[in-house]
Amino acid sequence: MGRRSLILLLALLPVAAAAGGPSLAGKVSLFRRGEDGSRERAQDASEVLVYVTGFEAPAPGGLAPRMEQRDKAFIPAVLPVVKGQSVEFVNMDALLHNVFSPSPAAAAPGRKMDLGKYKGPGRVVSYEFKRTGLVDLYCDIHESMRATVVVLPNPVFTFARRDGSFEFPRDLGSRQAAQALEAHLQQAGRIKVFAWAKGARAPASVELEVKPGVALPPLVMELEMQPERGTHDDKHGRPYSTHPPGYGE
Amino acid sequence: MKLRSIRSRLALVFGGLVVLVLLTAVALSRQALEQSVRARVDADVAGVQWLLARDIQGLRQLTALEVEKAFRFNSDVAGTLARLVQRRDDAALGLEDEGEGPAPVAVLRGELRELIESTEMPVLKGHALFAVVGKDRELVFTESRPGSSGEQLASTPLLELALSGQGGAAAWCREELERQPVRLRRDGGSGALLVVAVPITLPGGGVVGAVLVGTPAEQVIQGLERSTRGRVALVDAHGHAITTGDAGFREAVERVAGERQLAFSLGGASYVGDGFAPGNEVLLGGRALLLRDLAQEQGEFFAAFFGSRFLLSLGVLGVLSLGLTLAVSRRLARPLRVLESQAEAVRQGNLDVHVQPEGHDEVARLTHAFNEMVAGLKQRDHIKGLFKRYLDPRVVEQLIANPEMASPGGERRELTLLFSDLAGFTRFSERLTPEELVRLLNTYFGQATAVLGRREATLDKFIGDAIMCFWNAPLRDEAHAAKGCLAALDLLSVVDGLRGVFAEAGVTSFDCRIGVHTGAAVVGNLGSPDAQDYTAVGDSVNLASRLEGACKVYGTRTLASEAAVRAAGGAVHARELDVVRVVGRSEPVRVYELVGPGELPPPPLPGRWAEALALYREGRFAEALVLFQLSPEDGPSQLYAERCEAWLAGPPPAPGAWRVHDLTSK
Amino acid sequence: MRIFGPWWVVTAAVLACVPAEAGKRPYIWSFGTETVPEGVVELEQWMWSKSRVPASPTSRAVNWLWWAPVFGVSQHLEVAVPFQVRAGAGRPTELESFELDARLRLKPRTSQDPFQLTFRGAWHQPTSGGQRRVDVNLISSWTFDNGAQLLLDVGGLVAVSGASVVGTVDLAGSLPLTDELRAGVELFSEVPLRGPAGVTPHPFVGPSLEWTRGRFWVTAGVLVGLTPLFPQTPHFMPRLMWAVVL
Repeated sequence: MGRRSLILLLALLPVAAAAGGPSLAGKVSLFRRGEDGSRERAQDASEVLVYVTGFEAPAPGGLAPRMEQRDKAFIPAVLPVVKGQSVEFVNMDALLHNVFSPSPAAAAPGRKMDLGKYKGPGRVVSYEFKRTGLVDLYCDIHESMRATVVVLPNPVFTFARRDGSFEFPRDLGSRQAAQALEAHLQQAGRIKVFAWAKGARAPASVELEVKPGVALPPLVMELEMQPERGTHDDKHGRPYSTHPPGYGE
Repeated sequence: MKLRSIRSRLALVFGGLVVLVLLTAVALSRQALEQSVRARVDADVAGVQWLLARDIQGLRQLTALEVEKAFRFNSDVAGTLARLVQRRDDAALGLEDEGEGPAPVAVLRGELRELIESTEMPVLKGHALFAVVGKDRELVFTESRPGSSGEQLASTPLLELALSGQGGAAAWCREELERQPVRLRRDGGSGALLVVAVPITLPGGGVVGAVLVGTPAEQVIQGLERSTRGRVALVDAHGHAITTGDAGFREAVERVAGERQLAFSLGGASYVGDGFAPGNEVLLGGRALLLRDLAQEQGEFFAAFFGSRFLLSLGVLGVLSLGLTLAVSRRLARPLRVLESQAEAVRQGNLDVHVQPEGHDEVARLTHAFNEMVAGLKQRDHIKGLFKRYLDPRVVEQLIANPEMASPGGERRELTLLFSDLAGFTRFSERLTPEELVRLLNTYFGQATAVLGRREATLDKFIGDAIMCFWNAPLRDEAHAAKGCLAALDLLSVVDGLRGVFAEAGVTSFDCRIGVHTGAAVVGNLGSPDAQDYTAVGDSVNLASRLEGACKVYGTRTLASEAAVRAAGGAVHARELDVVRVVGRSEPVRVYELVGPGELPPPPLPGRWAEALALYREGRFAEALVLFQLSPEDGPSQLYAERCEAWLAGPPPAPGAWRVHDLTSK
Repeated sequence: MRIFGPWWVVTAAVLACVPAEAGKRPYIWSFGTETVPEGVVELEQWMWSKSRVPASPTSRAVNWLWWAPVFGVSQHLEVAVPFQVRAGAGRPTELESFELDARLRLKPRTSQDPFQLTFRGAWHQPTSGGQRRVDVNLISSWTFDNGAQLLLDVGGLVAVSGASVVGTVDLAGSLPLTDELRAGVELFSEVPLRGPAGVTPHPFVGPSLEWTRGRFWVTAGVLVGLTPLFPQTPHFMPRLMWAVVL
């Protein structure tokens, strides 16, 4: 949380420079549905990822996205990256951890993603995500470790604020992203915006027509989370319960 | 109808008992049957649970196995499905990879469909429902509409369970099936299905979909109903019941399904049942019920109960019980009938009856009592026959109460015997008319026996005008001698009292003579069996009789032996008369005259009797003669005077010979 | 509805724990460019034979059993410590040799580059009178987007004494049939470079099939000697390999 706030603050500078371009703002309402079927509005919508599709643009240079394994958890649990970016998986625990994914989006031809087992603290293993899509990540040793890498086609994305609002290009992390958005808006005449959060029943999306000189209306989107469910096997397809006791502790 | 005989009454009671027992048995077994039906329902529910679990788990495991085999082992179905799911997710997120990556969703769907169609799945295919569903309930394949895919199925608990990675099974009633956008039943039917859902997991990953396999619920229920008695109903999570048969039954089950005690009546049937929740793996959120028709069970039971065999055995039982009743009552009645006839004989006076008792029951005891009674009657008759004429009635009663005192067998004991005779009466008898004679004698006997009865004498016999009686038998009496002596004095009074009466009839000179002796004699019932008398025999009896006769010799009215006088003690006053030797008896006997009762002062003796008798004994006859002659009115004095004269006149007797007088006459 | 029998239960239990993973080694002769992931230990075993050489009346068929734990040391390095048991050729079954076998990837295992290069070096220590030897291989592969792969493996078997040097060339290709099944074909030849005169190359060609399931993979194949052209080549060289990840 703190780290992302810092990034957001730093992002304000380049965004201000590009302020002349069209702006895209809106608000996502996040609802949670309980096991009993109740539906109530979430106080914190900062887990909602907002992104634009329809064009590809490279990731801005700089630091590679990082996902840490810390206290037997992937941090962050949801990591948006741009197609072609490598993610650094950093094991901060003095434990063996593994990263594997059954998702085809992460697989190399003929081979699924598996980073092997390595011990921290501080070991880094990189992996490049070459296709767009959702990539579920697990640890073969610790069943509870789960994360999702969202491989996006371009860097135009952000997490919503606590109240669910977002504003492009202000919330974008880099000048390149803002420029890419601007270029896309000028070129395409249409724009498709998605909002998604892990555990959402379905993503929300809005498609808008873009007319030069006409300000885009604020977007209103709604997401509904559903109770978490589902199990997964280890990378060999066995349930974790078959692991010997104490394994990986 | 009046039941006069024990036999018919017993038959009626027995028959009634048999009917009562049968009715009780029927009522009890009816109640027991209901309880046992309930208990068996409770027990059989476990069996149904096992069978249902076996059926459903079997289908589920077969499905899981085939899903494993067909989807993961040797075909690419799961991988393609995973790609499809991923592609669809990515497409929904706007993240389809436009490059050379995975194929578009539509193409993948087509591929997947072809793959599923071409894969051999002998278990899965051919079921009423076979469908493959993607992660978000997206219908990937169904046999009911091979071309269709892509529709999203309505959410159901079973689908959600399977898509969360757990297998399960549930009952989908018609309403549930109709909620789905696609008709899922391959056969186009609309009946409920038992649906098994098995998740498809991505190798090394999460759940990518589920396989649904459904089999008509009716078939399963019919199978269960074949394996158990009663009706089986499945109730889904929403309370919809699935049953075989008509809608009425189904609706009735739905009404009671939620209750704890399952019981309802429907068109003559009365169902009781029990239910259980088989759990998510067999019947998600639902319950299975086992219901039994109590009326039918009872009907069947009683149909079997009252079947031909029962009727046959009932007939046999009836005949047996009737026969038994007759036999028992006959056996009971026979001795009663014998008793009845014997009692009739007794009534007619025959006491020589005896009924042989059989067994030891009440009838036998009654028979015994009857015998006792007859024996008692006989003994009473006997005693009365023996004594009633001679004894005081009180004594007779005493004897009847203590028959052993009568000692009919004969006994030697000391008796006091009394003989009485009317002297001079026979002379008048020719002058009297017989009626007069009998009247006079009866008057005498009546008063004499009354006197003797008062003195508790045992009358032995009347011989003409003579009376023989004795004391101390049959009842023992310490004062027998006294009573005998006093009775003699009383008899004298009777005779004196009757002098007036007799004189009126012309009988002017008569008196009575009485002999009393106390000595051993034998008493007993003597005589032929038909005519016995209780009497005494023996020397003493003869002596008493001789003494009576000897009164003539001494001119006295009474003559008592020394034994009697001594035994009487002070009860009477007596004057010593002589020492005599009676005929046939060697021992001389001292004899006395009874002069008065002991309670009165002794009357004066005539003359100087005692002095004269003493002189005579000493052989001083001359002096004694003078003294004897002083009282000529006294019979004994006259007798002694004569003796003295005789001794004086005759040669001198042998010394002492005069002291004992031999009685020559009887 | 049938009753679920014990046979199915057993089968289901076996199958339930073995879904697919990426292929490890589609060829029976070349080691390929793949290595086991870091931190992973595999137990690997081969059974293979070399049939007799028809042209040589003294030659006999020989059978080997190869067994080794394979360690994923890092993203680049894999080390195996095999031993071999030899049987046949008229001799008693014996422990023939130990080896230390290292395979080094140029790029880390996480690399998704289509081109991969792996260097293999092995020390061969016979236990019964054979020659000590060093094996070296340079293996390169190209993987297409659809999973098909072409492979070239060039190597040599160099006796430490220097008495003999045998070069090897292996040209192979493979194609994934399903996620779990991959078919391959290999053209392989030993080329004597130094040693006794008159020894000709021993070329073989043959198919192989690899099946991977969960922690287990198995590859079977047979190399058929081009004996008609090169009479000193054994007729057949079948090999069955399997491994399980610990």
